[in-house]
Amino acid sequence: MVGSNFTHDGLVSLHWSNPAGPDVLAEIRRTSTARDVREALVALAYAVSTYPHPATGLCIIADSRLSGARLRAELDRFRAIVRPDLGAKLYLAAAKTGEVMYLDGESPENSQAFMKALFDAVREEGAASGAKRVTRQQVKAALVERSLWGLPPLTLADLRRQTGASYQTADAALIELKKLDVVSGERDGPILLDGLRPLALRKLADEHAGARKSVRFVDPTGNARMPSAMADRLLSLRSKRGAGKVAISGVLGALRYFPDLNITAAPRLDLSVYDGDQRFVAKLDAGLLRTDDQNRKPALVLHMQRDCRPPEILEKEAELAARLDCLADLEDLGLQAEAEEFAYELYEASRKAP
Amino acid sequence: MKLEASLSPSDVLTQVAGALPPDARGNVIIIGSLAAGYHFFAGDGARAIRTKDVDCLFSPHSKAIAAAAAVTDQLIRADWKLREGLDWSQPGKKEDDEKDLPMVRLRPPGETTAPWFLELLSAPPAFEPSGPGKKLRRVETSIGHFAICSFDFLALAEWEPLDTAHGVRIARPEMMALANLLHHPTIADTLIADTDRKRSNKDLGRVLALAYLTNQRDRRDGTDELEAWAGRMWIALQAKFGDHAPQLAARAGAGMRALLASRADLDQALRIANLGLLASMDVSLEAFLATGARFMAEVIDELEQMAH
Repeated sequence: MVGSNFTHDGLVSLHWSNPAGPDVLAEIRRTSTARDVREALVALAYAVSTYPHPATGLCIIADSRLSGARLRAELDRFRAIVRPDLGAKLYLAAAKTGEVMYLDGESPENSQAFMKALFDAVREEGAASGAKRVTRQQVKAALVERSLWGLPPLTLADLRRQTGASYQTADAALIELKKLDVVSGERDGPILLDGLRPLALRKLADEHAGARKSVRFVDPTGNARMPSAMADRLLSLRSKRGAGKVAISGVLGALRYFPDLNITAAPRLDLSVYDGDQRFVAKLDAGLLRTDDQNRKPALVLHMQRDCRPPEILEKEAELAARLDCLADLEDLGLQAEAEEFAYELYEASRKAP
Repeated sequence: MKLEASLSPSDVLTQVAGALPPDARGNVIIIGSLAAGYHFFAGDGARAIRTKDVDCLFSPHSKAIAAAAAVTDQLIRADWKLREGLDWSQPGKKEDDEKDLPMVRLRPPGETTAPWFLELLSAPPAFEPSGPGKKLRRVETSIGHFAICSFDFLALAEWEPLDTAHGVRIARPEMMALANLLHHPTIADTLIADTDRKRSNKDLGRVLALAYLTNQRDRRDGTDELEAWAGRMWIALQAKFGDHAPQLAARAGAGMRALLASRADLDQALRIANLGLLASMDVSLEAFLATGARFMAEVIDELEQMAH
């Protein structure tokens, strides 16, 4: 009943086909500025008025610093300037995410199924938008990954162009790397990372792991495919365009980089997801169940993050996640000896690179 | 609720095959829980199934009546007994309508309270979509008249059955699953006699149990049998139902979708499966649901795409 990112125009985040009344179109924004709220209401009003069936619109403002009173005032103001019949069909609510998610505001539909679909969409939007924002950590990861591949260093301007980071973010990232004593080169020239020793790499991988969002899936039947078989299936899906920007990381990724690593069999499949789209999981194995329970052993873990791989290598190795992702996964798995060895191999490989 | 006896699939199949005339064994395909139990548990003495009937399909259709009559006579001579109860304990007469004749249901000899009985069935004639799905045919034996019935979709059990060491063959799990799916396009209110269990829930739950066991075996043996189901189902549908195959494939998932959407029916299906084919495994509802999702994605969606 739910179509994420549906529409005839791609105008809203979600639609709900309602068997008992008008359909619901929902627009989800994660913002704390009134201008974005107004823009979302306009997009929603347009979608509702051009929708081919009776519909209402629900604008969700997620994790906003705007107060409930302020949002109600925005809705009242907006309703006052649009056609009354259209204004009456529009709703605005704040969503607070976290362990317990809840709505503050009116909704045109309150069924349990709708609320579940809505909250799922808000969560997914959060993961996707998290992947879109360029942070200091992501700038650092892009620089480190580039260096690990032995590619020519970039200037700060090139780095900003490539990552989409603001000057302040890129500069702050550079300062942090300097504090780690891994950067050399002139400020206006190419940024050379020549101090990526294993210890520094592991520290960077820890930060990298902490900055991404992980989504865990368990197999309630206990009959999940082996991680390597699931990875093969993913590659087959990729070749049929059934999976988007997803790459193999974790133990399997590390072994693809360095087949001679003394490493245990993969206890799970780790995947780096660079576009926030998790829909491929249903094709990978529809029996997997998403869980937030850290005590359950996952068969699959998705790491939602921005792609830090250099554009130059994507044509050759698109199915293989960033080296830094793999190292972060080994740390996340608690495979410390293996992480240490992998970090050492990365260091050696980058030293030998031309 | 009567608890059905725990049986060793190998022991029962050995007994059934041994009792059949040697020249009739080639015409016999075992279907139902014994076939499934033998397929999955034959090498595991610790695993048992619970069933009260052993379904014995005579194939092909053209030889079914003669073979069923010969087998019935042979078993009666070997002291097999008609199943107890008013409806089944006496053979019918020449003048009885086919619909009034008892089915051939025989208990093995030497056991006063044998926990299971053998039921004879016929492979169906050529498919006619407008005809009745269930057909009865008269069988004349030395002790009187009986009927054996056939169901349209049991034709699938005839598709490349699996050999056993006992000379009789068993139906493929995926073909029994497909027959059940086609037989139950909805969750009907029809109850199994003397129970509060819906027939649809039992048969569709059986499909999930077969998928669960196949999945489990795949992981154990490193095979990909479940993934191969859709392809085989599509070939079998074309072989058995010709031009009707695309339409049948397109509706094969309807009943399962209905089951997965109804928590009460799914609960009941799981309870029945846990008392039958999944006896002693105590599969959880979460695992049953996950199996359902996997089955829909890897079998039904694939089958529908092949037929599209």
